[in-house]
Formats: sequence, C-alpha cells, structure tokens
Amino acid sequence: MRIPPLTIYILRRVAISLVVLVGVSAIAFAMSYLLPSDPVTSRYPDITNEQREEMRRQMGLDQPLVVQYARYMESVFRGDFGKSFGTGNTVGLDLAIRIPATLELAIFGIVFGVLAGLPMGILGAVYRGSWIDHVMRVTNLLAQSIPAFWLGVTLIFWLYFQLRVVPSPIGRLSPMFTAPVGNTGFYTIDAMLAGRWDVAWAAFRQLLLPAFVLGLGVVSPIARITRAAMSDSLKEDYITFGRALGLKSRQLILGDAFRGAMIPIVTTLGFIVANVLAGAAIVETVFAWPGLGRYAVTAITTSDMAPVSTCILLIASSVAVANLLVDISYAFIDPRIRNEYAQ
Amino acid sequence: MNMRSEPMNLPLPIVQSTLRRSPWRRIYQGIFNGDALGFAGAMLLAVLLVVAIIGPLLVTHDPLLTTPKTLLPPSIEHWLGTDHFGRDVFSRTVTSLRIDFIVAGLGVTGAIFIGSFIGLVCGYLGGWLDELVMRLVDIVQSFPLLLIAMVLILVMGPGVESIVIVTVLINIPTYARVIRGEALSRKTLEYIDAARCSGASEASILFRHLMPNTLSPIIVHGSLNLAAAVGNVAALSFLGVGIRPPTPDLGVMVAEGTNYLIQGAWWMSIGPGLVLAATIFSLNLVGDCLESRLDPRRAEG
Repeated sequence: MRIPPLTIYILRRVAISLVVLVGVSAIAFAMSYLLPSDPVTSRYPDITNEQREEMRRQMGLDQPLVVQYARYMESVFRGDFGKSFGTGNTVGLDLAIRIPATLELAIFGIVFGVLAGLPMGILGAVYRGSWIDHVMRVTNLLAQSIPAFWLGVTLIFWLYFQLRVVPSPIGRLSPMFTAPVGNTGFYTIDAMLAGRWDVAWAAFRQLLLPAFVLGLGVVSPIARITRAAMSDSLKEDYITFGRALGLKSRQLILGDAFRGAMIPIVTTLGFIVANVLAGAAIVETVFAWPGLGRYAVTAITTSDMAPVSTCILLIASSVAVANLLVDISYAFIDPRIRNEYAQ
Repeated sequence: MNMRSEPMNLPLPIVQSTLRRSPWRRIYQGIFNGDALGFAGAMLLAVLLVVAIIGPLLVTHDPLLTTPKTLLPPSIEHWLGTDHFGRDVFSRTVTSLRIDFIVAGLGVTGAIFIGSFIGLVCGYLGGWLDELVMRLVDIVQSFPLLLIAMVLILVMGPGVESIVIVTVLINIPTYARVIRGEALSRKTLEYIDAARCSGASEASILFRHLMPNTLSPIIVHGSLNLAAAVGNVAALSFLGVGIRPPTPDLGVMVAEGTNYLIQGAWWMSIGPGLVLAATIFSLNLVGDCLESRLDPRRAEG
C-alpha cells in the first residue's frame, strides 16, 4: 500500500512533537521537584518528624523519581493536576478561570501586534532604503526595546492617575459590574451574548492597555519577517511580469507579493505564541490581570509545586503544538516540502 | 556569498577610497557601511558603557545611603529626585547600569562560549549526538524561559551569581543552534579539506579553522542577545526574584517606583526605565545594523 507523502510528513512531525512533549513534561516535573520547598513542611509547618515521614509516604514522595514521574504523568492524563495550597483549589479549577482570561488578553494583543506589524513590514519592503523604511525600522526596534513592565507602569501613571482616560488597572472588570456568565469565558463576548453592552464596553476598555503592552512585543518580529519576506517576493519574476502587464501596484503588492510572503510570516506563529505567553507573566503582574501568567509567577515565588509544573507544562505544550501546526500548514502551502517524503 | 577569506568583502576601490579618509570617516564607512542609525546606536551604547565604567566617579551621592529626605522631586541637589528611603535616584541609576551590564554581559559571554562549543562539535561531527542535542534544544526552546529562569533562581537561591548562571543557561540553545548551522554549512568548504590534507588534526580543524569563521554570526547574535538579557535581568528583578534590594538594579528601581506612583512620585521609575530602554534600544540598533551588514540578503541592493 502506498502511503501519501503528506501523511508521512505529518506523522513524522507529530512523532517529533511527541518526543518534545515527553521531554517537556519531564522537565516540568523536574522543575516542581527542584523547588526549594518540601510540600509536607509547607502545608503542615508544626508536625513531628515521624508524622512528616508518614505524610511523605502517603503522598508517595519516598518513591524513586521515575516512579513519581510516572504517577505524575498518569494523573495528568486523568486530568488531575494536583492542588494549589495558595488558592486551596485544584489546579484544574484554578486554570479553568484563568485560561480564558489569558486567552482573551493574548488574542487582543496578537491582533493588535499583527495589525500594526504587517503594514509596517509591507511599507518597509515597498519603500526599502527610503526614509519611510528607516522610520519603520526605528519604530519597531523601539517597540522591541521598551521593557513591558516599565511601559505598563508608566502608562498606568499617565493615563490613569494623571489623565483618567483609562479605567483603573485592577484586572478584567471594574468591581462596579458583575462578571458576565457565559460559555466562552471571554468577558467581552459573554457580555455581548447576554445583551449587556455596557459590561462588554467596560471589559473592552479594561483590555486596551494590557493588550497594547502585550501586543507591542510581537509588533517587531512580525514587522521584521514581513519586511524580509515581502522584499524577497517583490523581486520575484511574477511581480516583474505583472508590472510589465501594467497591473496596478496596489493589486501587485497587497495581492500577489503578499500572498507569496505568507509562508515565512505564518512560520513565526510558534515564536509569537511563546513570546506572548511569556510576556503575559509580566503584563498580568503589572495590570493585576487574573490569568495564567500571574498565577504562574505567584506559584513560583511561593513554591507552590502543582501549579508551577502545570503552568510550565501547559505553556510549553502550547508552543510545541503551535510549532506542529505551523509545520503542517507549511506542507499544505508548499508542495515541495511534502514531496521530499515521496520517495 | 564568499565571506571566508576576507571578513568584509568590499570591492577594492571602496577600500582604497575609504583608507584615504579620516579614521572616524573610515570607521563610519567601513564598519557601519554608512548606516547612520547603526552608528547612532553605537554612539549611544558607547556613552552608556562609559557611564557604567566610570560610574563611581559620576555618582553625586552614596547609592545605598538612606536619608530622611524621602520622595523629593528632581532638583539641583538630586537630579532625579530621591526614593522612599531618601536615596539619590540618579546615583542609584548609574550604579544599576554598571551592575546590569556586568550581569548580562557575563551571562551572554558564558552562553557564547558553551553554546558555540556545543554547536561547533554537533555541526562538525553530526550523527546521533547532533540529533540528540538538537532535539534537546527544541525542547528547551519551547519553554517559557522567563518562568524557567524564575524557578532556577529560586532553586539556586537568589543572588547575582544565580542570575548570571541562569542567563548563561537560557541563552545556550540560541548559540548552539546558530553555530551548528554555520559549522554544518562550512565544514564541506575547500579550506577545511585543504587543512585536512595538510595533516591538521580534527581538533585543530575545529578550533583553528572552523571556529574563527563563525565569529560574525556570534557578534550579531551577541549584541541582540545582550539586549534581551539586559531586559530579562531587569524583568526578573521586577518580578522579585532577580537582583535583591538594596543592591541597585534598574528593574528593582522600577518595581519600587511602582508602589509610590499613587503618591505621584513618578521620578522614582521614569529615570531608571528610560536608561533601561535606552540600553536595550542601543544594543538592538547595533545588532540590527550588524545583521544587515553581514547578511547579504538583508543588505541594500
């Protein structure tokens, strides 16, 4: 039986991702194991040594590392991520509230970053070497260079404390409103679905500043890769041919050349997901955003083992999955790649 | 593109005409290729480096001395005001710059040495070792490095040494990957064959012939990496696991300033933040300039 080359390619990529995921889970487990806190002592500070040994036996902490890792993975597959002694809830419950918060922030941030980065990159490529290109270059280097935590703090000071044009930076919704209940967990969408436009607007305003600071981190990578890819595709013969035919520049640049530049731009998705999720730790801390990043930071600084390993596992897996999707989409876009596996 | 024999492969007439110009002009043309932005970035970086080096001569007050004059706005006496312990913000900023440069610089240098070594050996030898190490690099690079850095620092115990070690660790994969690619693409070139024919040992080929030719990507990535490292050290300090107060650090100063913004003490965080942004910006400008200088695909037609 002949297996189609695309299937071989996808299977191979999935296999590589699985290897990466196993490594990721091992390191996530090791991380929580390394943290300088004994889960027994931190939970029950005033127990005797015999009681401590008894507790350790009950929790399986006296077993060899490999056994502990196997038990850890088994419970992860059951959906049991352990309990956070910081919040007193199971990690699964904590995350169910926090993941939508981070996703909503990250999506707004990425949308802003793409909407700002793409035109900057295209302008840079079209006006390559002119003053427009230089202005774009400086702007995106600046966006890359301003530390997110300082920018967040400074914007809060000027726009909230001084000018009062943004709502107070205390999380997803001002306490004047009750949080909308809905299926998506996105306050803006849930509120709109419930017909509460005032709540949706309030939640949206709350999002603006953190999403801007988070999105600024992806403007530069997107603008950079867009400029490079567009510069290459503008040099292609089909563009010269189109010009010779007298096609309109707008059609050539935004239609044909941009389509040719899509592959390298899509390839940065994995990098951008990693970037945004790491940036979320900082931005959520500055804006008191009740999301995954702040949860992870708090858990790390308080040596809360279960949330630490779960957050690291979750973020690293999302990056691995994003990279897998990128590789697969690559094969769909570019037939040369899947044909490599034809033999 | 042939960059093996000559580090900068300029056509001869340009080299001759630049040689006749003044030395400054030659540096501007030769190194920066007339790139005014890269040159401006290098000048800004030079100023910041000088400030960091001669910092102890510049400070107007003891950066650690607490005084009763707390939360004073900027004045002739205190150029950037004073903080909640009455310490001079300007003197602390200058001292911080020095510490942050040293910490980030040591971290990136360590990563360059270890990462390049790994990359060279893997790229040159290939085989299962290469495959194994590159999968490890894949794994490490899919981690949220800032969070990993926080965990590692807590494991090793807070302190400047931990931050340096963590900076080394999280940057090793970058160099391993880049230098591996360089070694892979260069090991089949004629000069390596020539060295082998003339009886050079494997180690000698690796370190005397292959390594010097991977220097230009190291320099490009080094400056961009240093920018990121300075930002990361400050971010770690901001999150409370980096450099510990009272040692001055730009991230710590911004974090402390945050708590007093509500009282209107904007000067506590604005100066340190601007210096931090300027440092990262100048390193990024220089890196960007070198990158387009050394990568023919990005050079101007």
